Amino acid sequence: MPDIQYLLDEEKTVEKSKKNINWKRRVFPFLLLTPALLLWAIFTLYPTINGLMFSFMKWDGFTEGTWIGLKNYKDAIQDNIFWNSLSHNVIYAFSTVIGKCVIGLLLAVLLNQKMKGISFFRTTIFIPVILSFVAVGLLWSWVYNPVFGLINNFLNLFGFKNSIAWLGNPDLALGSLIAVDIWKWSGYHMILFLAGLQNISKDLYEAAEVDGATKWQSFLRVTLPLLMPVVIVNTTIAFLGGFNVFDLVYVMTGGGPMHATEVIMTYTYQTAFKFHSMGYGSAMSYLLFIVIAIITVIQLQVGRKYNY
Amino acid sequence: MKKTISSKISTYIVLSLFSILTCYPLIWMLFGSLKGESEFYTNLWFLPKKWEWLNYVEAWNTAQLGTTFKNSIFVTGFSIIIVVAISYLASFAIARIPFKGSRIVLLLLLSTLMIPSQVTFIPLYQVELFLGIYNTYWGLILPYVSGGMPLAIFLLTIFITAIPKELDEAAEIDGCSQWGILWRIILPLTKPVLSTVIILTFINVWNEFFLALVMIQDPAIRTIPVAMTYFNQMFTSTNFTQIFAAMAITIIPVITIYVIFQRYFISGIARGAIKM
Repeated sequence: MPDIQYLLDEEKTVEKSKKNINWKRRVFPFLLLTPALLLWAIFTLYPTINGLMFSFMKWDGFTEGTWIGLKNYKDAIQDNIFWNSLSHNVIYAFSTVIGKCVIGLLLAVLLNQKMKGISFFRTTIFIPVILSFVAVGLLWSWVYNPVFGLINNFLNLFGFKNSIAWLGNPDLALGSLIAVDIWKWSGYHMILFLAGLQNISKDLYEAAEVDGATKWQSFLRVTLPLLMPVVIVNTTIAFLGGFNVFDLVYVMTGGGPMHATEVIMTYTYQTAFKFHSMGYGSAMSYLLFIVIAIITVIQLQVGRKYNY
Repeated sequence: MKKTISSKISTYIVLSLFSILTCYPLIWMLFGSLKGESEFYTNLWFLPKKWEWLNYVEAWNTAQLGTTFKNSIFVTGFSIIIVVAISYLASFAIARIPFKGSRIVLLLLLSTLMIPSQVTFIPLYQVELFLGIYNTYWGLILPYVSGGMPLAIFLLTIFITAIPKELDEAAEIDGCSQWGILWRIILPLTKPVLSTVIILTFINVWNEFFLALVMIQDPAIRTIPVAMTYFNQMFTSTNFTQIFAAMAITIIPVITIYVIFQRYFISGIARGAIKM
């Protein structure tokens, strides 16, 4: 967040010029900050520290917990379902990132033209972004329904008579969820890419055209390199979404069939609130946190390369 | 750039395809919600032949949508008001009043952005039990506010810092107090950012599912997303037209608000992405 640097500079110069601020003025900013800091302490700082403590404890949520050291972490490393869930998260994250960014960029390029009716398309394609994951998940569990679902009946029109249990088949379930996630968020990434495209000067394209570049060449040589910072923002947002996914899985498959769509968050939720192993749940939360932190650091490093 | 007719046509075709792919499931759900039980399975693709408006009445009553709407409006309304108030006060202090440590305070408040809420939900549950807000409206509102606050503070601080300092100085010479500057000079200028904050908070809180699932036990204070999942589980494979109708009732207001304020929605949500 480079925007914060100015505060530091400002702080120094102002301090020199206003040595004699009265007492009332000194208290005023802290008065204004109290509610925010209080909320931050109670709902962010304390839970973050306490969660780390829980991850070293055995605790059922009601009685006193007992300290068991690293056992929760050791258990997680030996837990097949944990690794399975994490691998689903990885598959989920990579597929949704590619799907959302490719479709989002394609739509943004198409929308970045002066044509009649463009804003209509932008408005409609953005609709799923404002809907809840619950609404989208329920809607698509009906679209996938073997009896009255749209997809099976659509395939029926082309002679596929067997109705497919998209969410009931362990081989298909995860892919079916990924498709819904891409459906929901493509419009979001479209808008972010569109904002990036509109920042690229038209002169560059004209220059490329004068030099005899085809449209595809000017996309590869002009658009993509200049769009890199926006691509990084988009992939990071999509990646984090892929690792934090919970709502869609919970609503559509509940992690089943046979853990085929289990992800870290659904497994953690089950562990903590169905089996009352709060300590083990906390440990898995922190392992997920580490994965997310690594991704964020990589993003910052790559971003720095592109002066973002 | 010259555009050939064929490239124009292919653009329209691709965009129309994506629009249909986006909208048709929603339209299909609307159609389904108005069909009779038998027609639901026979007439799959098109408008109902006989319009069953009663589905909506029954869905409203069985799913107790009146109560859930009231809960969602209450929780979302209070979250928005408190996020705006707390974030504005904090941002004004950081951006406008020089004091030692303002940068550290800002970084602390923004640190929440780095910690996904899923990481802290178990200790949060314990905090709520301790404070006695578990299974109450405030058990949702307060974590929503603390989750929405950092981005709001980030956007507001940048915006307020960019407002020329001369404005405050002129007001001070005219005898305006600091409280007056905060209230009468700066606040009216921040309207564009406040609208972004309001829209982002509205979307996030109205749609929030995870905490609402974990922190609320009492069916009487469930918000819409959680109530919808319970309603769906209750009725699965018995009466789909009613579930479709309930879904339509919960979705239509959101889409209407979006269509009316779409410019603000799209730019607001895009602006929210810079937190990355």
